[in-house]
Amino acid sequence: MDICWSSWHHSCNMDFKTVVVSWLASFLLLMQRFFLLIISPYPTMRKISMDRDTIQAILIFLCIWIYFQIADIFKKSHIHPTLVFLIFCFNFVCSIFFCYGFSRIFGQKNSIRSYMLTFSYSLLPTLVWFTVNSFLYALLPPPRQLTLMGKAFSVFFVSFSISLLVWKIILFYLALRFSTRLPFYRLVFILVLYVSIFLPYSVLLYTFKIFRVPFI
Amino acid sequence: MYVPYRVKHKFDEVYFIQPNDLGFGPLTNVYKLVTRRLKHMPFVLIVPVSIILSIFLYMVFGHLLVKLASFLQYGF
Repeated sequence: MDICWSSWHHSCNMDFKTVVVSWLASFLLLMQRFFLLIISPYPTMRKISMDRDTIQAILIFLCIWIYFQIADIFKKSHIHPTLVFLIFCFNFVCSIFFCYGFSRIFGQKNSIRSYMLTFSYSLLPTLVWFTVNSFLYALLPPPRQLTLMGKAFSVFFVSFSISLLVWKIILFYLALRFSTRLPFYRLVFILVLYVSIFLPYSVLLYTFKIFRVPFI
Repeated sequence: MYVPYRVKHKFDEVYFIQPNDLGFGPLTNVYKLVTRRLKHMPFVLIVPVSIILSIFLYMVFGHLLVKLASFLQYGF
């Protein structure tokens, strides 16, 4: 009886240690890939699409959930931040299945895990922009004035936003390219269709004051 | 022929997807020229271009750029 209890206790300890170590390893890999996506997005996204570790996607979603909680402190919303997070998750899942569906129509049979990982990593520029924006909202609250400092900051902020937007477009295109493995024109077709559906949907979200700038 | 595992693994990783072909030679070359700069260290190109673009937008639209910055700051 004592031997059974000690071996069960030992196996529980080992399982717990394995879980902790795997989560820590995924976190370190996430940090490494965040910087690699800045330096060399193409080979990094290619490696991500071949990965099978969903803990990294869970960690990214956890960061996004934490962001929504913190953002609610800076600017109180009439909608609970967890509900906003769930709406975002719904948008994300719809985007994945939209692209997955079209890739199946075009004859590609890929793992949906690849979509989940690559599209999760393509959320990093969005998260960075929203986080910096939240802190700037507290540090330098809008509206911007027509003084020299106001104009200089506006030029800086718009150039920062354009840089992150271009990075986002690059990562989104690479996520689509490596997940669907489709050629250029079919990718452009999917992108155009996606934007034409998502744009009116974003206007709807703006009307209901859920997302002023879409969190995609 | 013996191929080291790391080389084989690298080849599998690089060639697991077909290279893009736009169906028209010069267009494919233009595409490859543009994307070559964006595959490695894209921010070396992106940051100066975005600064120049935002200065240009300010020169063209003037105060509307300041209103855009305010709109974006309210956007989160």
